[in-house]
Amino acid sequence: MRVINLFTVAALAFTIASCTEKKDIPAIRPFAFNDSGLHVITTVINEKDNEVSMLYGNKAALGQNAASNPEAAYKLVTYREQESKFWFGSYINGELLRVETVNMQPTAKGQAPAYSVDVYNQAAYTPADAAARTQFIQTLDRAWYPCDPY
Amino acid sequence: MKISNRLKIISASAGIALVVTAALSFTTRVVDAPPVTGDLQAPAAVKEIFSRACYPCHSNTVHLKWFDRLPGVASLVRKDILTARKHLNFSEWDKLTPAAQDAALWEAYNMINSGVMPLPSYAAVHSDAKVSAAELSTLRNYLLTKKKNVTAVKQDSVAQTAAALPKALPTAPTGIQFMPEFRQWQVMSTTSRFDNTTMRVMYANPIAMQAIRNKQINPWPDGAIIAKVVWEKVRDKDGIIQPGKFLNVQYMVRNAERYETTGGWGYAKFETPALKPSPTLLEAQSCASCHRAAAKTGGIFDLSTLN
Repeated sequence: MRVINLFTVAALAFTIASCTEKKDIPAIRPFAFNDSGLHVITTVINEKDNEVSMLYGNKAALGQNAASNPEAAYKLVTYREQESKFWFGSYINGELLRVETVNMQPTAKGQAPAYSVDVYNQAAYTPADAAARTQFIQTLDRAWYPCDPY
Repeated sequence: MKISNRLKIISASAGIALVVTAALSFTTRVVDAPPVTGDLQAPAAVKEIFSRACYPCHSNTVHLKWFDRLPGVASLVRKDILTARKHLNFSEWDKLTPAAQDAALWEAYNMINSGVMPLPSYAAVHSDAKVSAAELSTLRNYLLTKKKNVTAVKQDSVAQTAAALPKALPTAPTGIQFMPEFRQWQVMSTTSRFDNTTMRVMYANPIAMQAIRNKQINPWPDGAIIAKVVWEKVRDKDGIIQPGKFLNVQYMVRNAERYETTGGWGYAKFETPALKPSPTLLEAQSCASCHRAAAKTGGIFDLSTLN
């Protein structure tokens, strides 16, 4: 009788342990940038600075003659690159560093495009020349997608 | 008297069984040992690690313990070795292209590092197969000598050929159809590989994105889909890396029941601008096998972690 009781208790303990066991899921980095419906235009990697940037744009920025379309809006989102935890041989986007925004609306009135930058997780950042950054962002070639425009 | 006779019979039977088992253990031919056509060429320290941890299953040279030949065990060992050889065979290294050889080494490292290989059930009874942290470091340092640098030069901006999706969207042998709507999904991550010269952008459909946010990714919910777009890297005149030639779009579709044999994920790849579908059902097994290295994140590699 004692043996049966011991067996029952052991089986019960094992069952409870199995049910309550939590799988060890690594800490996934939360998404710090919300694309708000913008589409990826291209991705650029600066190996020297260990950064990767994704250029997003609205429909006008993805269309023909985007550079002269006042409706076009761009966001260049820059992350620090880090080694992938799950595949040695790969870098992956890590901490969010900057979001640069270019809005072409002012060009409708003959003014320069509006440029702004939001900086994150970066104590020492020297803002670059707005005109040069706007030019850089606007002239990046689109990555080729087999289903564009979609 | 009766008990004594019974004991005698039992003892005799056990003795015979023991002798037969021992004889089988020493004489059973578990697998053939085909000729070595071309062995892995690597520094001695690296070769020693692979020889000890991987060669018993992933080569034509047979390294078996006596208990591997036991009745019942032998057939399981045989199955494991034949499957392993088919996936990667260090004795037929010369049959792989240089690029495939390098890819196999990176994969081998990642499988060992994740604890998937050597198979835990194998390592439990073959203690010499275990790879120590110091040995992993040796392998890492060796692989870093094989790190790929981008030498392809980006051409000046030219008008791109417009994409033209076929009217009937292609379908992979796994039954997964090309899904152009991934362009509307959120970006999950972007990766730059240095074990080859590709860069990728990963998209997650709304179910997958919600699963990530809710930390419900082991297992992922049915209906989760990850799309991956792959390009060759090119370097522009300022040294910045950009996407060059488009290579393929890959999908992983979660359906635990339908894709039970491939870890609950269905795999599809559409290559070149013509979107040529693959993999075959057999190749999908290889996809699933490799993705076991990402078991901690439910089979998905490309998730950024808080380091």
